[in-house]
Amino acid sequence: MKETKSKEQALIGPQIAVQRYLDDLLQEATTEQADDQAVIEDQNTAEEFDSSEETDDIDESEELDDADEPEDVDESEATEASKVSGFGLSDDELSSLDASFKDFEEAISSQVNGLSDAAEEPHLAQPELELEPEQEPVKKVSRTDPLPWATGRFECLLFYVGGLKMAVPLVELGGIFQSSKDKLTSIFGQPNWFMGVANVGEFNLRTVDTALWVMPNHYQGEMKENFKFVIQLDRSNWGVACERVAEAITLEPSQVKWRSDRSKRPWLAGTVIDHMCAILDVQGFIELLDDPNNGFRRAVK
Amino acid sequence: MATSIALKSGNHTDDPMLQWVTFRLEHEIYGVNVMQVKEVLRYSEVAPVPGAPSFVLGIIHLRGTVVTVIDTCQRFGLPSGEITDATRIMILEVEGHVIGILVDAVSEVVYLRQSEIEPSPSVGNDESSKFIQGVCHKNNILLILVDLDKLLSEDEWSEVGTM
Repeated sequence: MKETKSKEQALIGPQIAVQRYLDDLLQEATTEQADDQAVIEDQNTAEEFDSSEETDDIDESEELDDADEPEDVDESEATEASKVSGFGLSDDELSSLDASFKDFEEAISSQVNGLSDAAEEPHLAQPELELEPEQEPVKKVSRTDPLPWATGRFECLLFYVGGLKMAVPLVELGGIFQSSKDKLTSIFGQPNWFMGVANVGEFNLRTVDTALWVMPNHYQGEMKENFKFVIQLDRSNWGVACERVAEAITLEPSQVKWRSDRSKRPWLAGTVIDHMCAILDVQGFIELLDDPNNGFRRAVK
Repeated sequence: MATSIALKSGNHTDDPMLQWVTFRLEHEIYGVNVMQVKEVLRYSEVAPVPGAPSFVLGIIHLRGTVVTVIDTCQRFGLPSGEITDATRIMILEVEGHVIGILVDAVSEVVYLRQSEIEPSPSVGNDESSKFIQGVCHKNNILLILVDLDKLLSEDEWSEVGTM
């Protein structure tokens, strides 16, 4: 525990901010489970429980509303977030951290500034790397079932969107393509997150501003120019834009904090604290994007 | 000065060949059904009409007939482009009405099989997204095919008609 604590202390600000972001993403699942149990036991008791645990339980809508005003997030939320992450920091230590997403945004902006250097890394200079398509038919998974590819050890490809590191399971990775303004045809009347259509081989890839999905309340689309790659979601017509593609990693299911209910934010399968990244639920993301009734804002709310 | 466009037919029973006149607007290429294009004019002065809807640029005289010119960029929600030597007014016949649309340039006539046309992404809630009939990848360019029949609503047609 002491080692963990000192490790935590050694983390620099942006890393802590990213970790906090990942924890906040997961927190909704914990909250929903607690709410469900309380409802089953006793409605009145549940109300009392909710009021006494108000600082602990933050439902997604509250979380999103609060996110609009990061300075409003209080210390108790910060304490809870650290409990979720299991690092057990003291109040004093926590008070030194800004519990809001502001740090995360700063982390993003600081890392965005370094993008030009990162983009020149040798392993990123590879032109269009297309992976072999997964031949197995896609099974529709309930939003509460464990993901079929996550029953044993699995591999993920890491990529960066702003300062956030994300991971896409290789079995559901359709391909990676270089993106450019020339290749991307913008279509009028589409939402802000829809960057345009890129013709890649047999696909007209509908490219999504990933940042507007993963941090809609903290980002206005200013990173669009920095997106250099498009990651195709499975063999669908959807691709998520990213700034940088990194290495592939192998994960054990136990390393991941899985979300038990993915009905909200269905694009998020879970988070990996070891790598400080969020794992995409590719099929959930595709379904979300394919559903015209969902609409972007409606899906977020 | 007008440029006439020759029409050719190329139908196939199951998968008809359609002809589309392509034009440029901002940085993208759009297509409209050739059967609805009457002629293409070089840009000439468009007389603004007081009290006209925002999507109406004004009117022009075409061989004794008054034709309403639509501000296509405004209609599509795009930033307005500059008038250049390439700017054209496409005269169209839509729903029995003759209108003009201002475009940055007219490119060519392309032949597309019906099967080559993909539906539009349809993720937009914006009103203007309904103007898109589909998209098609041709000669390394993604064409955005416009459904002219939906360009104006019935009310808007009557409004234009009374100008």
